[in-house]
Amino acid sequence: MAYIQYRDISKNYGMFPALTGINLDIGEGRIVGLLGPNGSGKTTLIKLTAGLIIPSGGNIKVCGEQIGVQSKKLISYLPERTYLDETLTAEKTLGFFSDFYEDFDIVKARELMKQLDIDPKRKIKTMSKGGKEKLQLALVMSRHAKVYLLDEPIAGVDPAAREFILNTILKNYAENSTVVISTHLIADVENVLDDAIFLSYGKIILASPVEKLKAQHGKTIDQLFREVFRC
Amino acid sequence: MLMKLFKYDMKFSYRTMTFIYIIALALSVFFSGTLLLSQKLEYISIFSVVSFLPYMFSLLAVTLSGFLVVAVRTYKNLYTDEGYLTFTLPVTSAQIIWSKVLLYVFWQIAGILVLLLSTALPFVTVAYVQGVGGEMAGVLELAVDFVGFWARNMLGLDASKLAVLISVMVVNSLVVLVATPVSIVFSFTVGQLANRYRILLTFVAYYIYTLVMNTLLSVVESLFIAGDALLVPEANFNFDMTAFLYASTASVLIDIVITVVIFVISRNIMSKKLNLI
Repeated sequence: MAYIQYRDISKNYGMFPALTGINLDIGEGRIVGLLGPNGSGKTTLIKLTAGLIIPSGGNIKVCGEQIGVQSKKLISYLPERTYLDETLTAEKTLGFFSDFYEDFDIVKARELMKQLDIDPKRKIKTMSKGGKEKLQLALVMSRHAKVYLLDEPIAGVDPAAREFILNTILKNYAENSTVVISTHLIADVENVLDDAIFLSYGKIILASPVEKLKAQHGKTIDQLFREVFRC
Repeated sequence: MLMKLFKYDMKFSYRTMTFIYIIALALSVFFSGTLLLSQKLEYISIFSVVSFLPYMFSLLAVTLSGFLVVAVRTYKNLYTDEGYLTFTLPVTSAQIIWSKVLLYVFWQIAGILVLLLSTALPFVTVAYVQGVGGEMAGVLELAVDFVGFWARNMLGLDASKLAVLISVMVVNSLVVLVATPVSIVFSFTVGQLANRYRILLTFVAYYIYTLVMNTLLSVVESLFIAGDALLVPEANFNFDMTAFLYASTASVLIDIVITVVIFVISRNIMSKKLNLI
């Protein structure tokens, strides 16, 4: 069974079509790179899957569930912005996740916070941007979710931090779950991906296992990306 | 899940609200204290004068704070970046709206208690200072008798009709208690549909809601109650209490229907037209 199933998905913002004709199955236990330049529709596709926006047409299912309360129980979502209540401390935010998500592992979250050097007593509003991002990552990766949707998790951080973030993701996602990572920083992620999906102007122009793509084109995914999206 | 949402709404608001309530009660105590002491030390009366205005402002703050805290919480929790978390929680849109209703109801009831305490204290103090505690009780008794007399003779109310009237008024208060936070959520939810000037559209939505509500209520009242009988009952000793009861009941029903309508609209927009930027 496909973990995420997109059928004839389209999304318009007013007159502007952000996504058109998306048909895709993402299987169990895959690490999928949603790759494309800015404005290609990566965030829109992730937001549709998370249930934050509604498609203009088509249907999405997550583990056989229509997007709604049940699918939200299965998805752990990391947006490209700070979405936490900044009046709470890091520790109270753990309580918040624990209250709302049955699959939240508070022990793991505390451990991750320690590894990421996050002070649990500190209020989120007093943290740096990087600190907030690390806390969100710790929270999202401490769920035993079926699907992780990570929107630009390595954007805006230095190369050393990128590696650290990717390692945190790889070490902590639940077994057999599917991870979708949207990014335009291909070189940093290509070694961890099982599948690559190239999005351009709201359409899927390529979707294939990474190894197959490399063998077919004799290039790395980064080289292929640069070739496909050459200005 | 509803109670969990309410718990975090309370966590967001309790510090601000308790601060306002404590300030109001403290100013009430201070004002009352100055009234008491100024009987013995005349120069203290200057403090009564000085503290009167802050005391009145604190009562105003208590009155408005419930509305404002729900408005701020609704906006921040649903339609800023925090909305990305709220709308990915495994909760229904209806639960999100109900948690704001509970928040408003809780702080309104707490606010009414604080207002009663804050206003009663200076009155009791004055009664004590003037040595008219007994007379004050008498005055209260007289006021109750007067209302009873007025209801019986001017409005032609017997005990059963008075009970119905009071019931309608209580139900109306309860409906308003639910309608107000729903209208706040509705206005912000409509406001977020715009890509720009969202706050402006929120105010426009709230204005239209109040305009429609007030127009409908006025129409209903004018349908049931003729002329100025309601405003000047002594001008018409045949004041038709039954018509007044019908009008009140119809007003409550209209309030309920409109609240249900804006609740459903808000829920549907949240579920189908969410426009987080």
